Amino acid sequence: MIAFKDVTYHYREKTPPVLENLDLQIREGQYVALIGPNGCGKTTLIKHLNALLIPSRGEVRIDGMDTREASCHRDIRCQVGMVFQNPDHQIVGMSVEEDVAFGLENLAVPSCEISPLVRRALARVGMEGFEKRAPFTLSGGEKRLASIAGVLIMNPRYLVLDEPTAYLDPAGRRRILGMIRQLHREGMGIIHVTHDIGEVADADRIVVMERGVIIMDGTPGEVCSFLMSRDNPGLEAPVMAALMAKLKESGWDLPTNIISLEDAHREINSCLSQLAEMNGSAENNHPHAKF
Amino acid sequence: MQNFKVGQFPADSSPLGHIDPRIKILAVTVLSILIFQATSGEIVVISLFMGLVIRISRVSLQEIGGALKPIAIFAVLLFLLHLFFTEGRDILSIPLLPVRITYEGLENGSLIVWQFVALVTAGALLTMTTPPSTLVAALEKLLRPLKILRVPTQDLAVMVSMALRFVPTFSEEYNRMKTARIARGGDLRGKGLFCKLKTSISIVIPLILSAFRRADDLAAAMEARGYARGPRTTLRELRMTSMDYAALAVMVSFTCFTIMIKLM
Repeated sequence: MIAFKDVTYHYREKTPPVLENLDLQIREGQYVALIGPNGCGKTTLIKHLNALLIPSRGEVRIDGMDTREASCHRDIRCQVGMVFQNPDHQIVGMSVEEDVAFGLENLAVPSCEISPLVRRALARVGMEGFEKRAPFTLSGGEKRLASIAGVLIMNPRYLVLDEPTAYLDPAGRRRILGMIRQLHREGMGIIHVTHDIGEVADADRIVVMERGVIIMDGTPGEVCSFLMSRDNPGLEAPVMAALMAKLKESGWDLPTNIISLEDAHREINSCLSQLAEMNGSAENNHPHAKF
Repeated sequence: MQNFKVGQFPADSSPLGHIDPRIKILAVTVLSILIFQATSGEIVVISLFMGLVIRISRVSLQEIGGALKPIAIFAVLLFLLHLFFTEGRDILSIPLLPVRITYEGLENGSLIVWQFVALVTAGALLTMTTPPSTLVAALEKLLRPLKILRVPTQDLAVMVSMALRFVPTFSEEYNRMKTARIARGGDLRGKGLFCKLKTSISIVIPLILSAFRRADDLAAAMEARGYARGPRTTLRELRMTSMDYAALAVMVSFTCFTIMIKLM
């Protein structure tokens, strides 16, 4: 369990806090998405998960370990794997295998055990055969997967991903999101920072942040309704929810807390079936039948 | 910068690539001392030995030439300095100018340039036949005794490794910045030393600033993956084989042979 208790964080003294009186709990195996406009404190929050930042006030505990205790840092970093936004800034090895091995080298794992574990971690992210490749020859998606493999090799319980689909083409984005879903199915806790609520429709919870505080914490449906109900300059309601709201305004009986295309398709189909049942062969005369 | 090859080691195809990098580093160190101490007779023997090593290593003369290219101007300057400013028997004296070409200047200049070229060739052979990561691992092992003096040898090795890792990245970034300047109408083809210097500074300063930003991110990423002071292991453990001992024996024999020539 990850537990934030009344956490406040200032980068410098006498400056406004970046996180303020924040309480948050994340259970093992849960998929939690973190959304919010730029500068709302998402990255600062996730840096606390890995003890890269220590709260100015309050406490963060990872499976009971207090991040303020320097002696716990190595264990905390084994439990919480962190994948940063830009893979170019975090790949440390001169070849993919050297980069993936970096975490185990730091844990002083015997050399003879590292190579098989590297191969297994690369296979887990679908990058078999990339061992000898130099990082700068990889595509954006491959670099991201190599970074994930470098974290997975340490066998963490929680995986923190800071905007993992940033700068990726649709194929790379699908590949990364598929990987995240697969890791979640395998039981890993996921903390996924994003601007696009559409890509975290499968999350168990979505946490919305604004100016260093949590303003909403709920299921994707609840967060979607919340976003639809207020004007959010830094956050957009999902496209599907906006479409549903427009259809609702036109008289269709549809929910507006829809995020994914699949859910929207299902709801519209069900609505059309109901209309067909009600109107029988007169369906063609329905005012919205042109839709 | 585009032709910078460090950190971009391709497939390990040279027979020298299979020799323990510690032996190679020691050999280059000893060879460098021998080269510096060499007289004109000895430098011929050392060059013949190095020629043999180049042949065995399968590194092409073109590649060696490529490594020597950046130092060509420096070598020429070094030769001219010795040629014109060494006292001795005149070959040619230029009227109205305080310079003379002497036999001693010609001999010294040739020897110094030869030593310089031999030294750079030895270094190039080492980097061309050894992947940078293995080189760093070897360096760390060789510096290990300094731990007694509390020298952070592991940190030093990681620092060297990071520096090598980021050479291609910065090279890419340099080219990106150059292209961005050209795209916005900047002229980078200016002639004259001042113009070239001005252009370089306008790219190098943002490059340095970006390097500092990257360093911060990299430090956080390394910490997040458990990097800290304390025992570390490496992906590949360096182990001496019979081939390494044979290479060591060859190097020791050659060193003894060169010292004997010197003493005779």
